[in-house]
Amino acid sequence: DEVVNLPAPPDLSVHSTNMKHILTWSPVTIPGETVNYSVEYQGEYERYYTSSTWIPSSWCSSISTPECNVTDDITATVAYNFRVKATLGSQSSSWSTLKELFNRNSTVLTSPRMKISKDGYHLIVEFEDMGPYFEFNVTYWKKSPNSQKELYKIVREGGNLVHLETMEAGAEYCVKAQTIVEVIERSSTFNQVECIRAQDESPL
Amino acid sequence: IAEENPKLLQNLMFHSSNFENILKWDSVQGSPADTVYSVQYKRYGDPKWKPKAECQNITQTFCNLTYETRDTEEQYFAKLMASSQGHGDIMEWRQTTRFSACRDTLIKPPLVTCIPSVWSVKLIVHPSPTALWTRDGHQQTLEEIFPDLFYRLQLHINQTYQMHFEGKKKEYEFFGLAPDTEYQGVTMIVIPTPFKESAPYTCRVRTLTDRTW
Amino acid sequence: GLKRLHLGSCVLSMNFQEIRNEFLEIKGYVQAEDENLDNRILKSSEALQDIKPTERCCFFHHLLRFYLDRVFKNYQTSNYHIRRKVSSIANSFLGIKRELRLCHDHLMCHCGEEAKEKYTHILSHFEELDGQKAVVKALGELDILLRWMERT
Repeated sequence: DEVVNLPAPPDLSVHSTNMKHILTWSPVTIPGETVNYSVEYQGEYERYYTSSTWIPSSWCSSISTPECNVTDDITATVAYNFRVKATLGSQSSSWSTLKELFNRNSTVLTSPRMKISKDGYHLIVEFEDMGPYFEFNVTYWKKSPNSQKELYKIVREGGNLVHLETMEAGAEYCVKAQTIVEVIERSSTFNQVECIRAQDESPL
Repeated sequence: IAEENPKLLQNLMFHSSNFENILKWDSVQGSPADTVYSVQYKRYGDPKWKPKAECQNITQTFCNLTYETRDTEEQYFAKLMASSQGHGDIMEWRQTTRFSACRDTLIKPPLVTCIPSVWSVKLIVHPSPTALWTRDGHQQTLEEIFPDLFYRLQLHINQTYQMHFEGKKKEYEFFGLAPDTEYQGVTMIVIPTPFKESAPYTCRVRTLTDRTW
Repeated sequence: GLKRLHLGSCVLSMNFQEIRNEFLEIKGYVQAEDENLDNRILKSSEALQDIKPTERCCFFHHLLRFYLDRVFKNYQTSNYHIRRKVSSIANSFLGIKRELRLCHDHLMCHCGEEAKEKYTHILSHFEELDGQKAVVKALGELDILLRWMERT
């Protein structure tokens, strides 16, 4: 092949939200050619104990898009580094690496999307399925002029409608929730409070 | 022992639930009818294999090793010799992978009684017996073996939502239900350490008719 | 989820399920590589939970360093899936070791005779075996170590 000077892919960085970690970089463009990329990673262990060896990423060996889902590679709460090289035919660029190491405990935790509904006197809550790391801490209370006793419940997984409380006839109940991610010992902010009123006593 | 073209036996493995540990295997289609099997077992780290007396030259394809592998914290291997005189003296043996009852035993669904009333359903969970016995002849329950064991209960309401309970006590009542309505109760055993979940016990139950009118 | 590891006055919280799940993915492969069924490195006589509580932290620290220094890094495999899982477990152990440092800094990790003696036994079981075979056996016995940790 015609020898082309392949630059190392620039601007390598990790974008992580709700424990989903995406490695991105700026594309290397060669007119009329398709450039592929290969990704490798190393944890703190590889850096300090195995003279900085690298491990091929689970899903991104010879890909053509300038991004890689590295969620399955980051399975411990330590600092990870990534490197990417561009390849074109038999030619390869040098490796580019992260400017800052990435630790999953820095992931952005968004407050959970929640739907509340009722079935008769049953107050029902539903969360989106956010994956195995996520539990939901639900706080709810009956609105009343004088006191507001907060109650708590842990919903283990999203994707199901879950009964929260059996409501008193005609009373209004309010709910808010946050996600909990035990493996990094962090939780999200609470979402917007939502309220719903129970049906009145059914006529005799 | 790779199982390339076995002649007499295959799929040798432990099948364990609630610590009843049964060694099972399959004969090979077309293998001689006079095939007999002999079982040996050993604890991982011990040099000696021991024969299982009741499973020497047997024709059945299972052998109960519950007693021999009863130390739940230890790891074991079993080895099986299959032989057939009638057809040119074939002999074959296989060995299991490393078996640890504590890690590998499956947890059977809990024993549950479902009691409907007009406005509620009560679920009563009973202790789960195991195949383990103490020296003084007491049959151990899962609750005794795993002190951090708890139950997870759900009441499914017209296939759209569920009421949940979780805890160590034995009795749970789901209130605020409608009379003369069908519900499905689902109960599971959860063991946090080492993490295990039982298959669910499911009961269909109908609340009673409200006869106060 | 998270479990508390009680090592005398040193209490760590660690995610057992993740490490256990990673090991379950390599258990069959690694244990099948270990053909020596007559020997064992982590013997019941040296179980972590049976060591007196005041010396458990030190003994556990030795075990962690043994796996980090002599087992994970020396385990050779051309299978990338296995290598990723071993890396995951090694990095998780590193996270635990960092937590253990806090106990050490607060003088909760006293090393007495029992911890030293029992660790010496484990090391001798390991060194009696040939290099790579010993590494394979030690890696295959991770479930024994995890069980000891669960029972503290």
